[in-house]
Amino acid sequence: MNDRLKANLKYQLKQNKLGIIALIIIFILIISSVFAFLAPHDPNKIDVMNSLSFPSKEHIFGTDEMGRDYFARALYGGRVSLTVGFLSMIISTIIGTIVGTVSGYFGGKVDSIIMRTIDILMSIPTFFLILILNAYLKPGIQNIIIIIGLFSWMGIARIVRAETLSVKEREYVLYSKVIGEKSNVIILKHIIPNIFPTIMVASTLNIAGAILTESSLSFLGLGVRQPDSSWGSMLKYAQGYMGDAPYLALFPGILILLTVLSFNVLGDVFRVAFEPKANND
Amino acid sequence: MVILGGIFVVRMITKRIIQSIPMMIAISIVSFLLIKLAPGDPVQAYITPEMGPVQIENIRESMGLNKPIHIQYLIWLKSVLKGDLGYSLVNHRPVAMQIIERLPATLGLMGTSLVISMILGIIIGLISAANQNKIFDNIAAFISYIGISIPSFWFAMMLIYLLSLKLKLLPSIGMRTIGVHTTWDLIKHGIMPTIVLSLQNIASITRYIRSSTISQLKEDYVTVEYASGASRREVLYKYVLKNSILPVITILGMSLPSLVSGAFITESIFGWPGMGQLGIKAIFGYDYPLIMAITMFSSLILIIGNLLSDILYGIADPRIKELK
Amino acid sequence: MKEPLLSLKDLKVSFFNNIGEIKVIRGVSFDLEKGEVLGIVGESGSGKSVTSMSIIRLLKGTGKITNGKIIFKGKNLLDRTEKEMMKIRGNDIAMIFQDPMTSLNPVFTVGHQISDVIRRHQRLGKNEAKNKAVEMLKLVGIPSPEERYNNYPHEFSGGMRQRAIIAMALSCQPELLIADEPTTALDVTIQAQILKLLMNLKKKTDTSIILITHDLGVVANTCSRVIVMYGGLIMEEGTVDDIFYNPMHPYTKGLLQSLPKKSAEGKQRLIPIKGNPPDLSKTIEGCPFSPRCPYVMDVCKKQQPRYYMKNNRRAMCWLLDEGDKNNGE
Repeated sequence: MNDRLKANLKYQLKQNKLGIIALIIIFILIISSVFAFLAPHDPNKIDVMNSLSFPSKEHIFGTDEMGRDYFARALYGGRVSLTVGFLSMIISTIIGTIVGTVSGYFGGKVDSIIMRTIDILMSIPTFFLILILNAYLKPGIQNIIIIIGLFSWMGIARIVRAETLSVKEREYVLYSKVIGEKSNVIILKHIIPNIFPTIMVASTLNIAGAILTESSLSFLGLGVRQPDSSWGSMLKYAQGYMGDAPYLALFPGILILLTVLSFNVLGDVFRVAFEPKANND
Repeated sequence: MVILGGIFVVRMITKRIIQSIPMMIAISIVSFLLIKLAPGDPVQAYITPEMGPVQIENIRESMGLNKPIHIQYLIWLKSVLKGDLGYSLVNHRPVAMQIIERLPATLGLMGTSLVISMILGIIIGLISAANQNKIFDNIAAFISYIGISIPSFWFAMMLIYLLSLKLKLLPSIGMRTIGVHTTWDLIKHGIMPTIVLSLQNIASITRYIRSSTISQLKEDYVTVEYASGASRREVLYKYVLKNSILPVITILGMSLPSLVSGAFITESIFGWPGMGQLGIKAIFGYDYPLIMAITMFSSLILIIGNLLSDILYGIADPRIKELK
Repeated sequence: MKEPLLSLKDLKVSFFNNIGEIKVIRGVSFDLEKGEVLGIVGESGSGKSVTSMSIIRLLKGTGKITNGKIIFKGKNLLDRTEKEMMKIRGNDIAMIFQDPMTSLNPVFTVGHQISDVIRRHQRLGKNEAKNKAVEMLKLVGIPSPEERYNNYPHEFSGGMRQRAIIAMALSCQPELLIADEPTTALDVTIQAQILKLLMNLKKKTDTSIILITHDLGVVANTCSRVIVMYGGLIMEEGTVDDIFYNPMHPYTKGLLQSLPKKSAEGKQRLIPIKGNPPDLSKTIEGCPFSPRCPYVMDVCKKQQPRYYMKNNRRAMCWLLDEGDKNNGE
């Protein structure tokens, strides 16, 4: 990445304290997911005597309806939510970048067809489609990741295409064409590195969306299913205990909010750092 | 002059409608394929329990279920256009009727949410832009961030906990109280679902208007207006407003997908008897004809909504008037 | 002696950013008599536009007037409230800007924009204002003014737009019109038309004009007096003839030399002034032009020169002070 952009980013982060906080939060979340096994309690250990106990020193997030330590469950749930979010982002980014660069670079009929297809795909309520597919395929984290990834690339593709259109007119691209470099080489060597900052912004925001989608799916019972659990599915079971143990709904929800918020803030910080013309002040 | 303008508008509307036909055809193909790919005997969608085997075989014939796929599609399309969307696999009632019964509830919720989102979004966005980086702006920005990051179903749960369980101010389920037919009752039931459905759009519209207004305020014509004695209020709410709002019409189109997607979750949580709740139920019930129909309907809502916003934009922006 | 219409006294204007203070205008004083056309000439960064924005107190961003008085019709504009200034802008003092393509609001008709200005300052009904606006459009030479009233800015050509903008500016018969590079963004042929229009209108309405430009050619055709600015200060002031035929200041001489001229053989030689404009965020010692002046002396770099006066002219230059020790002592 460009030195100027790196410098811009550092400056923006210094300016925008929210950005640093977001980075810290994401870092903490990732670390706690990776090291979830260090949690003081076993997330699956059932202890019916202690069920639905209020948060205490022993159980910082309390216990759920089966007496399991909620904090440990939250950590492991975080693993799932973050993994799904990240991996489906990878899928969406790869598809979106390929489609976007091809469409933008080759233009003409290819471009028209691809853009029309994207238009059509975006006219279908993708959330509903994800619901449908998830319901009828074998349940499992793998499928969820693939399905969310398969339906979230369109936005990235459009942005990538727009950037490709502007980059492809630049001299080094024209020069490469003149000396006869093959199209896919040009795209890989010249176009993608130059639109990378844009892709970074779009991907970061994509993770946020993916985490939200997964949690909605799991909440409805159509996403991550037992014995796996994610923050969304924890909320599904928490619904029934709103009266007695409202904290069951509080913690996973706040975690989702914090995570998604951090990625959104980070994505904005990236956007301002990488595209100074497109910023607010 | 006015007649010319009118003719132009009609021409533009027709053009836009024609442009969206390929999309509707594509959607219909997708919906058709959805049903084709569903497991089970496809004729199930078109029969009721009372029918005997001969009748079923006849229906199989008439629906062309034994014929090649493109003929099946055309037959299906024909019956869809006639209004026949098959029967629900669960309760064997006509799908079309079920959807139409529930459409008003969904459209009402979506419509109210859209109107509120736009009004609040525009107002907050304008005031934020006018007071850039001051307290109002910072608070509004923070709430916007939360608005686009909060999982809507969790927000709904928190609202229900607070307003229904704890404060007992609002009912948490359904559209009406049984036996009560007042508007006030309807409103009480609708407040929370509307808030939940609107939150994300209010946040994104606010951000959009804010940035659009800020960039308008940098334009030369604003300086010229100040130089001819306009007050800050006049500049903001009369002159810049019209320019900032233009993208709003596009935003209208952009808000639709989240309205439609959001309707599924919001209606489910609040037990709102709309198309969205029906869709979720259909998925759990493996009710393929219903699923297909709801997919088609929601897509239609999206396409028509975009069409309307395209047309509105064409009318509003004088620069787009492609005379001749 | 009649009081001048506008009188700037030791105006100082600065912009403040996180680096520090940028002194854009460092002590500018001049008078404008009623009925005069005064040209302000200078490179970009010389402070000429900031001067005009200061007069109507529309400094953008972090600009602040740090010193001085702006006396208009006997009253200091800097003492006036914002409300009073709003009544003055567009009404007693009007301004037109450089780029006609972006000076009009794209979503309102041209006529509406003019009527708005009229109704803002004069108690006229909708139709009366409309009629007046149409009159103004006619006055600036726009054909079929009644129909054009209902057109949007994008339906006007560049030259037409500038005419409409002039119509808007003069609609309330201001006593002072400030024109900031009014022809820079226009084609050469249209430039001439617009300048001619301005001069004709001035004759009819007796508006005083401050014409800001970097183009000496524009000045030659329109102004009676000229001020030459550099580095936030006035380098020279005099009548048009004085400046063109008998420039006193090295900068003025340099500007005149850099005009494209045809020499006897038909060749055009451009002699630009060597060097770059000064960095206004730093304190400038001595004369701001000294780094680029071909006649620079030691004292020029250390002390800001005094004004050397002669017959209603003045120039800020040590060269002129040398031969006349009786001046300014």
